[in-house]
Amino acid sequence: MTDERADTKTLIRTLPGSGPGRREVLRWAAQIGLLAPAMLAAARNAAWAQEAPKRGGSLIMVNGADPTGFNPDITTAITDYLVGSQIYEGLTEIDQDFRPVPRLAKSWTISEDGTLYTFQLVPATWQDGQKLTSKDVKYTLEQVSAKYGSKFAAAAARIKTISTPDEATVVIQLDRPYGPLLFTLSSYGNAAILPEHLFGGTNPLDSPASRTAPVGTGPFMLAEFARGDHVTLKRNPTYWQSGKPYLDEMIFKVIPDEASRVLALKSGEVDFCHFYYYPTSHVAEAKADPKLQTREHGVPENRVLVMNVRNKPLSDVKVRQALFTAIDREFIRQSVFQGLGEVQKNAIDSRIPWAHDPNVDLGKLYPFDPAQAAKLLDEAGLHADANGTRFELRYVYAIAEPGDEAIGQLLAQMWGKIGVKLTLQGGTQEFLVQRVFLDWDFDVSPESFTTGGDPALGVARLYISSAITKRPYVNASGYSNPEVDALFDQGAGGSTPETRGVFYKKVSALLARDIPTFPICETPLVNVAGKQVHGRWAWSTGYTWWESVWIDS
Amino acid sequence: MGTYALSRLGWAAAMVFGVAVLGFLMTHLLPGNPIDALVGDFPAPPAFVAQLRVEFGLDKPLSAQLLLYLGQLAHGNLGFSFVNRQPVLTLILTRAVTTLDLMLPALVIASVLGVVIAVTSAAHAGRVADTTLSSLTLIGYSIPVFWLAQILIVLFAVDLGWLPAQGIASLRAPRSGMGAFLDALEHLVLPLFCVTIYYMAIVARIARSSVLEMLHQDFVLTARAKGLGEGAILWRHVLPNGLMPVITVIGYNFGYSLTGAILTETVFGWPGLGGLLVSSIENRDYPVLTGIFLFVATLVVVANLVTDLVYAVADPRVRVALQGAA
Repeated sequence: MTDERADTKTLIRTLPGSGPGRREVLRWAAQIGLLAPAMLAAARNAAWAQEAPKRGGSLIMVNGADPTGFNPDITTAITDYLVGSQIYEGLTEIDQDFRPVPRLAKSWTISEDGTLYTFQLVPATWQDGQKLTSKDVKYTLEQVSAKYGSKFAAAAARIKTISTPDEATVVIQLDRPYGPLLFTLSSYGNAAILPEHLFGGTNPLDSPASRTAPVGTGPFMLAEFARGDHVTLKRNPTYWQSGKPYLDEMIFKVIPDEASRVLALKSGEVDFCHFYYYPTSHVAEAKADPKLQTREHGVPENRVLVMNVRNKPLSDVKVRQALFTAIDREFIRQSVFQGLGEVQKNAIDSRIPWAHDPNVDLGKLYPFDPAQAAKLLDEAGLHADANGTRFELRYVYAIAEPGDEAIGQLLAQMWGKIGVKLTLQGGTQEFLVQRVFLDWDFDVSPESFTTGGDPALGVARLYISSAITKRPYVNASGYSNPEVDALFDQGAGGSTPETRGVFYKKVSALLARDIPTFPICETPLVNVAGKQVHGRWAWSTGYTWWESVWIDS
Repeated sequence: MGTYALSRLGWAAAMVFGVAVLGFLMTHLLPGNPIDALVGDFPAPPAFVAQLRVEFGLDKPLSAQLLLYLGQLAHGNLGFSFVNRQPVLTLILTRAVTTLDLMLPALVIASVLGVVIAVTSAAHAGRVADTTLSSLTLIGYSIPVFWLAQILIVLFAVDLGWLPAQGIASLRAPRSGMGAFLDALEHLVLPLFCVTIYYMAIVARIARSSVLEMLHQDFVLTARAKGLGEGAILWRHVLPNGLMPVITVIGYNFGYSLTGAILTETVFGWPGLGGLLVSSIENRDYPVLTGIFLFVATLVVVANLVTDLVYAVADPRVRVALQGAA
């Protein structure tokens, strides 16, 4: 599986128009003596390019439930993203390696100090025939994304002004540099551009253009919303990217039951299932099925153990290091994640290559060694009582989250061997939010966190001091380190991935020393499609790029 | 009879009111809140969350929210769905119709076949036919419906490719006219089988013991002595007399017709009320949840009421007793 992933990445990097150019990659490969694999990848790339897109047909994909609406700016629910991202588009789009590429903005310039962004818009029309203008952009970002967009909030806080010198130009002035800005200006970043002529003066949460009658610039438009059953989108005949989309229709079929999704794929009734909806336990089955294909990609997610460092003895870094040393993470990956995904090297996911430092490896810093763990606990003065128990910890988890109970049971065994008694306390997701994030009444809690594709969006919130607030899905560990805060701040401040990556690499080393949160596994993200599906399916986030997908009818 | 019906109706109304209050309190006291479900798993801007709380009325004390809700109910308004942004009644009715498309044929077939199986079984009590039918009904009653459903899908949809696995109609190439009808029937077969088998087993088991009991009554001996054929005895004398428990169980089944297929609906992606209930629980969509409780409770109460009245129609002894009481 590892080889397959490496191959896919090589292939992707050499695709025209995505990331560094082929020549650049070849030069780099030659320098380090890897010319042969690169040529192989280039040959595969050529084969891919020869496969001519076909026009027509319907593609049916799984949705877990009805979308609550079609506006990608006011929610981060996947039900809405999957459908709404085909209708509404952002200024930018996110490519396979999580770098921003042009979409409604055909180009941009950034001032040297990284605070002034000037965008040129493509000539696009709304699905009701009106022209897209810079006013729509200004309205959306100021009135909707800034107020309702969870992912856009950080960007909004740094935007000083948005001006519109002419109909096709948007100028965004920041008060200080913000690295993820371009990334955030995508539909995934809660910044899909909305038509001011329909939204202006309304409550965007209730607007028909959010809920029942969306009008976007995107490749598809709403044809039918049969609640509880499906949503049908049809081709936008006036789409600004000429010749696209290839598909006539996209249908989003509600299949609430996981096992039924697998069967629907196998019977050919649906063509695609996003990794979010595909059960990991059935990945092997999909890979073995000659009618199905898999693609491992998506916004990286991590399974971590949040340690409450307010509580003794977890406040002692030595104790945390001992506990980490007593965990066999590879065993957890094999038994809980069916051997899929990767044991996580450090706090920054390896699937965001520009920010990940492969040299910081928790597995090497604290290799699995119960005897060493026991020794560290002895050194910390935590000796076993008559029952062989050194101390007790409470593991608070959500029963419905796949794998968390199993992880708890494995931890109880692993830590039990070094005299640490773990009590499992499970409940609903709401129970977990209350105990862990609102009451901070826990010792250890397993969480599945999305990185958001950029450490500034999804990773910083686990570690920075300003995120120690009683809100769901932020820094529940209580860990606070000014040095870490400063590095995350600097990482968010650079304007290119390369300049930003330096800070994230530094911070991952600090976090590997302090481990306020234990990275366990880079969660497997296996998307499944029928072999009849071609092109950029499951590309980048998996929500967009469907205009570049075609199907054998 | 009139007084009987009226007093029953009074009880029914009180019960529905009780369910409204209890349903409201239970949903609101559940841990979690609808806002988390709506904004997704990323921390939302606090002003946005505050705005939603005001919009949904969640900023008021629970007692005030309850009074507002009861006031709405008095005007026949079940409220507005947080998630779907639609009137709750519209949502429930649309989905309930789809559920009934599945459940009504299932319950009718289950009732008729159940009684036929029971009578056949009882008539051959202790012999091979009885043992076979009884074993089959026991299996039908105890087989987990989600498992049966998966097996049927694997066999008929994935392996054989005869029948569709999901939904109520083909999405890829919608047909019209007779084609659409046949398409709908194809989609109905597997879920209908799953639901029917369970309810048929319940009816058959209850009816069999009731018919068996009647077969040992003196009037059967009299009928035999009069020279009546076994068929006439079974269908004209034994069955009508043994029908009371069967009516009870059929009425009871109909009371659950809206929620009795939640698992089947989930496995087959059948867009009925079950799916709405499950997603509303996940989303903590309070108005829809309370609305469904109320709707279903009303149906159960009505089904019980009708069952009671049908007793009176089916059994002259009940009718006489009621008239005596009145």
